[in-house]
Amino acid sequence: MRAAWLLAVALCAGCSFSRVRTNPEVAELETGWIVPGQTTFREVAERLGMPPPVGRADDAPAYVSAEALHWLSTDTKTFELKVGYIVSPIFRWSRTVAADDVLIRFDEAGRVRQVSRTRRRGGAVEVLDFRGEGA
Amino acid sequence: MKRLLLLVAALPLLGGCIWNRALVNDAGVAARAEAIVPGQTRAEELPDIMGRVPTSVIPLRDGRLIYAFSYGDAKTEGFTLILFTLSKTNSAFSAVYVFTDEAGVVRHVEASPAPETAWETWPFGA
Repeated sequence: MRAAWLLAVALCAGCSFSRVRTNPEVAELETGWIVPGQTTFREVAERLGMPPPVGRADDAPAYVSAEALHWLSTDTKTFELKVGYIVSPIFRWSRTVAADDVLIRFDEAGRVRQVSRTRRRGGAVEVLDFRGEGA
Repeated sequence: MKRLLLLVAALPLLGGCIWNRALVNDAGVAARAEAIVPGQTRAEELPDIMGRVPTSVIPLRDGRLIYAFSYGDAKTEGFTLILFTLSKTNSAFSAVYVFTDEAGVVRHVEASPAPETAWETWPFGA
């Protein structure tokens, strides 16, 4: 048993914990003032600012359209374990979640159709706002 | 003296620190966008004013377009201790969005907040 432990320790070439947070300011957005059916695209853009791209700076089309503005903050946690020296496989565990997600959809007249805002911390998802069509 | 020797002996155990910064595109577009005059500036003038072509062009209804000029900032900090590495990356992106009408004339300019990122090492917690 002791030899097995010694072998395991000897083969361990290192481990790492890393985390990547993107656009954490999305957590501060307030949507309570938005009135579905009344508030316009322009009012939302002026008060909340436009959504930032996520992940890559050229991702804008996914987050801005005539139908919706989508703010997204992501949180990626990664654990890596390297084993061995000459041949060194890496065991990686990684998980990305939408830590904060604000989606505002608009009708054809440019007025808010639906507001949703969710927050995920650990495994818990909290719906902070969900109003308008389909709510 | 013994403490000093211990400290010196321990120094090699400090594997090292990690600092990495990645800038995506030129953040200067936010300042240059102030030269855009709604009602006068035309879409074809935007590359000259902004100093580059848009990152993307987003079609809206009725022939209107949004020209997006995106940029970002990412900071990574961490440390390695023998076989153990901890690191955290904070990244934020922003964009200037220029709205044009169906005739190609700029109607208004909006921007997402400028990226603000902090140097942080500890990857755990909320």
